[in-house]
Amino acid sequence: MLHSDNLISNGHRALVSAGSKPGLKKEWLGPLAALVVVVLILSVLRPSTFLTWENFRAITDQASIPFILAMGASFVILMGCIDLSIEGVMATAALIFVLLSANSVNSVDLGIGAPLIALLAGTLMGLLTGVIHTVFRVPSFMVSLGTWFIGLGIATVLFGDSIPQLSGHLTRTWASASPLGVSNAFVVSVVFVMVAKFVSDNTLMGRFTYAIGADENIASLNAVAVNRHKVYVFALAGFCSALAGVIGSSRLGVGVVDLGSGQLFQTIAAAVIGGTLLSGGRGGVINSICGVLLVVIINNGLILLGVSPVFQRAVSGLVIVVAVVATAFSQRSRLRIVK
Amino acid sequence: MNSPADRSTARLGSADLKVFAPLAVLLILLGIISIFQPSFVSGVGLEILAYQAIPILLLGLGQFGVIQLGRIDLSSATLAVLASVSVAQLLEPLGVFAPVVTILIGAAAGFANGMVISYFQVPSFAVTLGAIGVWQSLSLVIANETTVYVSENRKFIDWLDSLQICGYSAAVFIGLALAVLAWAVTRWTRFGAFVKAMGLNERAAAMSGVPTAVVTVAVFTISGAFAALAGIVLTAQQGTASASGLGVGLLLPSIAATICGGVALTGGVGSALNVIVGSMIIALIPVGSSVVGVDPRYQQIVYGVVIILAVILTIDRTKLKFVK
Amino acid sequence: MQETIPLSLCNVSKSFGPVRALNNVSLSVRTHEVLGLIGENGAGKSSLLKVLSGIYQPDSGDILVYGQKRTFSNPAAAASAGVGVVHQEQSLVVNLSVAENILMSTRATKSGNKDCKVRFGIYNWRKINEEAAEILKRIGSNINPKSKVEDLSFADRQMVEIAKALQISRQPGVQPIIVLDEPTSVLEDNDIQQLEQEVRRLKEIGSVIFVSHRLDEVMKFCDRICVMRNSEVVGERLTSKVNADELFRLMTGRQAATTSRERNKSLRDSAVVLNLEGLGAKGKFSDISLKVRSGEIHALVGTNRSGREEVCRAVFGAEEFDSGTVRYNGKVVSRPNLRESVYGGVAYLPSERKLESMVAGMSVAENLQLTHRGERASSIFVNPAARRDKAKEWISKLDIRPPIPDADIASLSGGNQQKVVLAKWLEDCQLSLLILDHPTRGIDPGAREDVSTQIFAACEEGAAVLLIADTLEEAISLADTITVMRDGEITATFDLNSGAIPTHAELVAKMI
Repeated sequence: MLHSDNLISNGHRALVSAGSKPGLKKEWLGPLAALVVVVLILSVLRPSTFLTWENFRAITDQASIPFILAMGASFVILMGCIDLSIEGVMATAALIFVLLSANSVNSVDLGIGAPLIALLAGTLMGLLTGVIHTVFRVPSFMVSLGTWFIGLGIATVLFGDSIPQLSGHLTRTWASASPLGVSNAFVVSVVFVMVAKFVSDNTLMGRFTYAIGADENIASLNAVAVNRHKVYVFALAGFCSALAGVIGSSRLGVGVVDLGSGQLFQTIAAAVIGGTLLSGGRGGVINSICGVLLVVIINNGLILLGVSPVFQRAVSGLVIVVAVVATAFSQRSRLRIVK
Repeated sequence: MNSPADRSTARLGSADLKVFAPLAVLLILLGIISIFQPSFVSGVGLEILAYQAIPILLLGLGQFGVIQLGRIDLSSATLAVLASVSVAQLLEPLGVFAPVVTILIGAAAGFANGMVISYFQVPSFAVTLGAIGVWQSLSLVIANETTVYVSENRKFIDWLDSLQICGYSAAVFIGLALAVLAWAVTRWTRFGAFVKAMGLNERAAAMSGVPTAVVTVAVFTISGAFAALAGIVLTAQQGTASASGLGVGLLLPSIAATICGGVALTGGVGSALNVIVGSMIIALIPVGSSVVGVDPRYQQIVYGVVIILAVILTIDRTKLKFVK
Repeated sequence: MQETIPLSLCNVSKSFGPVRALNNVSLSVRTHEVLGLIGENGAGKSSLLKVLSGIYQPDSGDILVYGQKRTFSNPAAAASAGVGVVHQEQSLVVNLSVAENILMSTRATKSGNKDCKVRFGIYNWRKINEEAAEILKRIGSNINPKSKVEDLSFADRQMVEIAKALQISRQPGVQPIIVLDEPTSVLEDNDIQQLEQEVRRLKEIGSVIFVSHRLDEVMKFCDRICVMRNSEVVGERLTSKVNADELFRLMTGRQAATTSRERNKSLRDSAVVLNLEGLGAKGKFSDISLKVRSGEIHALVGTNRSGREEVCRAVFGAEEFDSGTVRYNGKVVSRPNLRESVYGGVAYLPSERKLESMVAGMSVAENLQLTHRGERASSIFVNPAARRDKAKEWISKLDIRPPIPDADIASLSGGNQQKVVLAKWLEDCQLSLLILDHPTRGIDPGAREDVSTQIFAACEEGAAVLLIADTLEEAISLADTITVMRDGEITATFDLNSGAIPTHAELVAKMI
């Protein structure tokens, strides 16, 4: 989003010596270490409540939707862009899903078609964001801000006068059912993460995303269709938001406009804490997963420790600050410019 | 590596027509509204617009300096909320000093942001994102988790809203004056030249002796002060303050206002005067939708669409090296 | 006869509106030869390259490939005729591996993907790494294809660029023609030898076009030299039959001026401005002791790993040092700090102009007054009108073109930009130390002379100059003292005022 000169593609001597120092072999070792530390601390402080199966279940449930959202967000952020429309697309997808499944407000029931159409809608919204960004050269920050409101607006219009409730048995219970021990939602999110990791490391989609994040001009010199690719990535992010919306409303059993409220902050926080740089080209799937887990587990820990909800936000906020300061600390140098 | 082809397009370093794009967009929007409600402009329409726009303008002005440096302050709206509850609580004990102390609180918060960002060389997006949480918790604590009603010593901030000249409140005039001041500083002071140079190429600025750390901290401190002023105005307008109040939802509109004012997110480009126009555009969207008779349920869609259109029309693409 | 010539241009012209970029240019490249293309900035070299590589299409004239007329409507078409260009700017994606970079550029060509390195979008890493290893071996490089580009040295990155160009242009039945655009502009003497070997190897495989404005290198690398001036080809010579003076004359239309100065023998009594005692920075340089006096030009000479740039940056305050002292006008400066250096009369011209010394997007006048020193140091206000007037003064003093104070500095040519940057420092007469890092890099001989004149003038007024020269010749002709560095240490010091002027060979011996 805001470009720093962390990646100096010109590689001139003077800057190589004054710029970023060679980092860790694997970029996600830092966040992973932090995660381990946090888990250890909580295990020591609250062994009877933290280290239980119920708590693990609770954590996995909490992490399902953020995992999915973090995948879409990671790809977007790796390109150096940002997607603020998460909550809006979630809302739209949720309402479409509920209104097209067996529900309390109308007599439509498209069965499996309902979530599929909802996912399609989300993808189209992401596509819209991507197209406006690339065709009109408007910063993704602004475009996705607009599509966020549009998404909320569509959801509001669909919402009508009363809360649509899911009436089908499958739709209401599927997400929370746990035939495998952990909720289906979590299973889906884990599979999604594994696919995302494969894509980011071994496919054109993934590699080009990194290339665009490093330097768009150079990427395009290397036969990367930058604009087209960006549109694909935003569409993917829309898909992720829609999937999160479908799962979320299935869990709640209703379709509401503020389903995704607070998810944007949490998703961006997870990316930042995980070390996926907002300037692009650095970080990735594992970084974001570590970030999500850190956010979820810290929140979980705060509840177990009995910290008043009033202070939870401050703690989350301070974690973000500490995370970035810790990551950047070793890189400090005279002329380093970070925006 | 400059061919004759490149040299023939030697551009001027400053003004060109794009500077009037935000104004054009505003006039178009006003024009559309006038078609539906001809008396909007001549009646109280503009006054209502000013009332809504002033907090956005104040936040936008604070954001202006930060964005000029190529950074961002995501915590400004939350800081405005903190200020609004603070001034509400402080009026009783401190009387006339309450607003002053509140602005100092805002400046101190901005100062803290700036120091962390500058000393640790960390991304402003991340630090101010974290700061949101901290200011939110502080707001809850100061407001005792309820809505604070301003009763004692109301008059010390009331005048911001109730003192009216030609239908416009004192806050509006203060806001306009501050925008002009910001513009003058950018154009005619060394500080302004430093900010512009840093926004365009911070490294070269540092190598030319510009005190980059000091400027960064100063700009964030100013952003904090402006946010505090916006919070005070909000409390004056509403008579109450709460930690979950109006302020939080003003962050993105205030950034949108700055962008619609032609300021580039990458820094170094834009004018404070246009932030006035930008905030009017942003405030106009909900106001105008109501006047034009858009169904309330559709208003958010309209908001989103108009913001996108406004930005498309006002962004100065010639100055943007790349778009992210 | 034409059929044996891989590539030739016949009477090619190209204009952009009223501006003529190429005027009736004809040239041909033979097999197994290195053709040099030389000319000042603005002579038309880059336009010619763009026509050769398919980026521009000529308005008139023909391109012949083995005698057949062809149109290069895009770079892919040029590549299919065997043309591979290594551009001046880096074109590698730094956060990906070498093998990926080679893969990405070859995907665009018709035959690029026929062995299915990428299927349905999924990478076959084994094949990708294999192909990269093979092409790297072909050019004699032992770079690991799996290493990330950002971990590579500069010279290695250039090898990868050459590998890319070679790969793109490898077509069946067609000789590759590799174009190297100013390849030495960022290399040091040591790496240049590596490049020489590389060029020789490429010559065996196909042909090379070597574009430069450096006379000595063109003469070293090329078999035949084509000179351009004012968008025309003004001469073609066999290297064996021409000398540097004639080339200079063809290039510039003037006689070569030897920009050397009279040696100032009275330096011994001048005040010492800069005194470094045992200066060291771990991993970069150690035990650096030298003195620079008022009016002296002190050149630091060495390869790119010698540490001389780091020493200069440490003195200015752009980098840290951990041992030794810096004495400035007799007083110890414990931690040189950018602001204090600037305000204390130290100027620094970095080698990376675009990144470190000029602010693109601001006008010439604004760039000129970026440092607020001297009489303006204490004023809070800025007067745009006075600023413009001051700028006009300097524009005429240094012959900066175009002479518009409000012009965006980014729209000026490299040489003019450098003049603006130099003027920024000279503006305040209280300059006592001028640190110049490759001040004449990338600017043509005409502008170079203007810059040198100003440097001499500053010396006359008492400034001490610490110089990292572009070439050894430049150092020898300009300096009063030469300090040679190798691997972070000083290996020799030469006092040219005492009459003993070192030879090129003597210096190189101490450098490596």
